[in-house]
Amino acid sequence: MDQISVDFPARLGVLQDVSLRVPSGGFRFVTGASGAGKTTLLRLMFLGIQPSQGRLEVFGRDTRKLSRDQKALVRSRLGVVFQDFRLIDHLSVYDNVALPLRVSGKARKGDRDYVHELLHWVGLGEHADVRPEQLSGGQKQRVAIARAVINRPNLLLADEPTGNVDDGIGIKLMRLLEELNKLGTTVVVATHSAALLERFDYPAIHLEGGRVKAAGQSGAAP
Amino acid sequence: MPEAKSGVHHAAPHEPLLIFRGQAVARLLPVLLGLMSLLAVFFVLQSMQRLFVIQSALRVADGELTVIVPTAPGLPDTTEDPALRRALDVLEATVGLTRIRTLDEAATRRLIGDTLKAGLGAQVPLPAVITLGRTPRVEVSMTELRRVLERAAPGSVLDDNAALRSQLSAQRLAEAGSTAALLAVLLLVVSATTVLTISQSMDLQAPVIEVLLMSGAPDRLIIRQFTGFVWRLALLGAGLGAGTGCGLQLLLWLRSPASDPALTATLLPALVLVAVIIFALIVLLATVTTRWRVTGKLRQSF
Repeated sequence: MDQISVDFPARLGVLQDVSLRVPSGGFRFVTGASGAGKTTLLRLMFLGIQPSQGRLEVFGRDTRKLSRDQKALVRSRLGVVFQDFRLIDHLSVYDNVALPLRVSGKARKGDRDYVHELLHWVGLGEHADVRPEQLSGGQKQRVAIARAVINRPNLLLADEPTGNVDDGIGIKLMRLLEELNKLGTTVVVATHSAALLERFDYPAIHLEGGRVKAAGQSGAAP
Repeated sequence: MPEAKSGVHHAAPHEPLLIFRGQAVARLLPVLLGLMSLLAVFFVLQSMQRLFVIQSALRVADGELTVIVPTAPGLPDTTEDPALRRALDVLEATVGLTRIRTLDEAATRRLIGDTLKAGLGAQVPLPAVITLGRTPRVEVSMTELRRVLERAAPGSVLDDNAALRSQLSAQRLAEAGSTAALLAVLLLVVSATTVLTISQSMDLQAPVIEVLLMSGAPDRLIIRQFTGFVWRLALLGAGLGAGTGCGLQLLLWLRSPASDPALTATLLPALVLVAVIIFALIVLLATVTTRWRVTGKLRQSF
């Protein structure tokens, strides 16, 4: 990310002159108060919005030069966990988790077993056929994580993944993300939870008023 | 974390993916499309019925001619009038005329007696009236016929129902025009309704669309999903609407005591055809509009 700025019609300077780099295989927190620009930074990374200024590269590719189909291919290498889970209510847990395989055209023989194994991995092996509405907040977030990692993403972006669950569940979710990171996936977690930052010792990119105030040991460009 | 199993790619391993369902405002779509189909089918069929009647009248007016021949005073029998004889000779010699018949005195009085009553007298006797038909395959020049009739029977009048035909043609044009306008308005309402409903629905579905995009779904998949969703709603709504409109019109025809069997025989097959065409038009329009709107919104919002 090089000198990135993001302006919205209703609000200018959501992000200002942000330059940073997340190394492949790294684990980074993005911290800051509400409105500091954490979610916008993540949205930029998953190509949900375009920067107003500056240069953004994902997997070494300049996003300004990508067609919409190419962006879809880039996104198929990403996993995203939203704070509000974004599960599709009328699909079962199994279908929610399998969704990225189906929509990205990566369906393979043996998917069914793989989805079930993944559900066991997040501790929801017995809940494959239930609807999301029957799950607790922590269970929903684990479904969202399973969905985010089903494609074995190179980069996992999580926006306040523990925001809607209690501390105990939050720590378990973070352990899942750590495990994924150890397998080689780059993980970026946006959070404002001080407890989480104290417990997990990873570099943090701190945002204030849309600017990077501290990049910790992230290796980010100042 | 479990390892992903490698294997051979294969298409559509599960049941069809139905991401979008009849949530919120989208539930209104089949109701509105059904109402539009019902109105369109019913009014078009009503109009077709009126057009058919006008067309039948026009055909009769087009095929029937009347010649009024002044007769000489003092003759005991107008059929012996030389002018009438010459006029009949001219008509019989003209190719394309048929059913040439001279009305008797009673029929003549019924037809034109009241109109001419004031002007009739010993010196101006009741004229003779000849009715005849035109064969549709041969074009007869009315100008030429008037000219030869005037020469054979001076003062004769050839009435080819020009005023009536012109009035009926104007009626036909007005009826067709108002039906086309009504259909255009209804189709416009279908488009507008679909655009508004889909826009609202897409706004409400924005989180799901974002999940699809984040999962690597290309635009075409999201467009296909939304179009398929509207296609299903349109099939249901427009199908029921067109069927109801068709049934309503059929009921009106069958219950009408004055229903003409020939009219029913002609219009019944047309009824099915019109219902199918309007149904197909509405479904097509709804899906094309959806495709256009979803494509635009995807580019604009994501």
